[in-house]
Amino acid sequence: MEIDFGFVLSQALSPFNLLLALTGVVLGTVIGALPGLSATMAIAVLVPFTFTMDPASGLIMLGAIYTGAIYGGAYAAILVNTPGTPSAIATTFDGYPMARRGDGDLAMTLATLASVVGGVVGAVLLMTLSPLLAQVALAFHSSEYFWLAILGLTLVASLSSGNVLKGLIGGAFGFTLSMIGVAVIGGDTRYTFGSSALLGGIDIVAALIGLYCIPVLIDMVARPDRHLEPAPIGRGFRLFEAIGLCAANGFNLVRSSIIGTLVGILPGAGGSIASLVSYSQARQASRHPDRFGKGEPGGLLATESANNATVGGGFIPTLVLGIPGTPPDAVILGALLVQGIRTGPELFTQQSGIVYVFMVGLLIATVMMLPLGLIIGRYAYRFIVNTPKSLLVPLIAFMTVVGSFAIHSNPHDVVVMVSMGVLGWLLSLAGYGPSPIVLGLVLGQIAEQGFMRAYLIGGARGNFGGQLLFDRPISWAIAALILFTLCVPVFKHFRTGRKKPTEVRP
Amino acid sequence: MSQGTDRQAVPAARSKDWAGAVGSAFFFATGLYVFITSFSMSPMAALFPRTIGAVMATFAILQIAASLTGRSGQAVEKGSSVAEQAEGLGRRLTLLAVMVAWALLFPVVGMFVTSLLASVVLMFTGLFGRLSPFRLALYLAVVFVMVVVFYLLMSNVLNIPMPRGLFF
Repeated sequence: MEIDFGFVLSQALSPFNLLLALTGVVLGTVIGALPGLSATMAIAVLVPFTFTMDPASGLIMLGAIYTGAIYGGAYAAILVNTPGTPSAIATTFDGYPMARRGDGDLAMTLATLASVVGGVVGAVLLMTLSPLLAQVALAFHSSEYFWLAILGLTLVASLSSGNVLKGLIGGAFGFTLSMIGVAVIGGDTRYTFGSSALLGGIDIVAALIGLYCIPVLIDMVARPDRHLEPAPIGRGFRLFEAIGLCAANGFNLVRSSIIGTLVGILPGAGGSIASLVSYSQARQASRHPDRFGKGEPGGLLATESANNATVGGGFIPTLVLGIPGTPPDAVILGALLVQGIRTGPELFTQQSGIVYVFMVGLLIATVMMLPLGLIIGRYAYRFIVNTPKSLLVPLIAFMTVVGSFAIHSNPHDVVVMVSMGVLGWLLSLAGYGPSPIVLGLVLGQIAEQGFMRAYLIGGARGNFGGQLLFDRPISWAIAALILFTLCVPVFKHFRTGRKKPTEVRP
Repeated sequence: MSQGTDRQAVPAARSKDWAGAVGSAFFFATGLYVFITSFSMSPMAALFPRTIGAVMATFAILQIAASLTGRSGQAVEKGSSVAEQAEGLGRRLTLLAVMVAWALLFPVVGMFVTSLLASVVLMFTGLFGRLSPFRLALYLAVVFVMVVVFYLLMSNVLNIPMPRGLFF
């Protein structure tokens, strides 16, 4: 079927659809910026409104909310050191230090530009290479998902903690937390200590809010200094400075966006791993890797471009294969089915008009993020900087409680959030950062499912090693990456150890 | 020994990471518990916890040794230190106590009332210096409006059923 691009553009650029995209981006950004309120929730609440709209309009609005919410996650990560979603974990590494030292305005502008670039690359790849890239998702089997989960954990362990060993221990602890509740394979009840509230396991978002936000609150009330350094008056958006930094990091931006799209294609694991892989790549390729984690713009650009590129990437298996990669994709898939749109390869032939209007709408919403994001980001930063601590503390604390409760309307999630916060604070005293724990929790079930399926299939064939690794070339590549990630810090340690200055005893 | 031979090059002194060792001991105990309890599960459910428990306990032992010999790496995401956390300890503990009480009481007392009370206590916890009566009234009004706005946003806009408890 020929695609009528004139029709597609006239539909996508109609004033009503543009207004929907604008509204969607604003709503998504605001909701994504509030810890606990997720893109899934925003989309789920607004799905019924789209049922009365024409399918293309409804889908444009849902896509705009999704892309806005993923971008909005950067606000809490940069300003409050609390990633709203696992995909924003790496944004805290450099975004928050930038805000702390008074470069919050620059960080917000950089996050906006990077999100737009990542979103555009993801949307363009979605429009042009969807059926081809969907084969990537099909090439990944259970064992590859297991290795991918281990790769994500290894990356965050080597990047975030005081040393790789502490990071790996934190990741293993996250895996342990993910085992609480009913076992994904076997169905046993594990580590619930007789509590029915723990049968459903530990909610990832509740744990994420607690582990990141409570230590920040504890630090805020302890010292009279400002939460963030204010930016000098009259610096504006620092747009030209940010564009200069983006130009200097052009290759980093494009590479991270492509990584984000490709890893985002993988259902379940994509978002959280994509930003870590791109951050790790940016750090390794940088001339100043020692600046990463201390407010390096290149790190922020890598993570933000990658996590927004996963939006386009995640839609590829959703639209081509009918396999939603993330919870928001699943809700949008539901909305598509209600509208009478059948996903699958034939979507691009039989109903190509609607699907291309949706893709162009997603692209337009991403571009709209630039002016809207700059304005909203500027005022969000000013608000956080100018609000006295005595008002900021109850505001953030209230958002953590209400946000955790809102996940499942369950008081148990608030208890989990506070417990994880206290644990995170105590573990930070011992030099254990929250990121490996959270990522272990996110990837634990994926790793266990992958490992156990390989064990079952390999056991049935009498070839477990082959099923897990030896007969699977993609697994070799991922395992090699894991080895490389683990060996680099050891190599650096020995190299710096040899060069280490020595004290001279008199 | 002569002065000349005393001028030997020695590695810079490494400080022991006692807090890291204590934290690692916690992980060792957790890993051991996960490993041992996995033997009471079905084979399918036990394999992963057994592996992870063993790995965590082994790594924790290695980390305890590393902490006690003062070896550490480059951190991107830094933890804190016991000395840093000693500053303002009373306020830190107050905040923790308020958060714990908030989490436990809101289903019983009601989300609005608990949130209002907790927010007012946290407002005073985060307050440094004296406030004029006007400014104090203003801050209290802002906290009240904040709680009302978020409560209404959740209950009326997002349709999240907020626990009403004894009050509301």
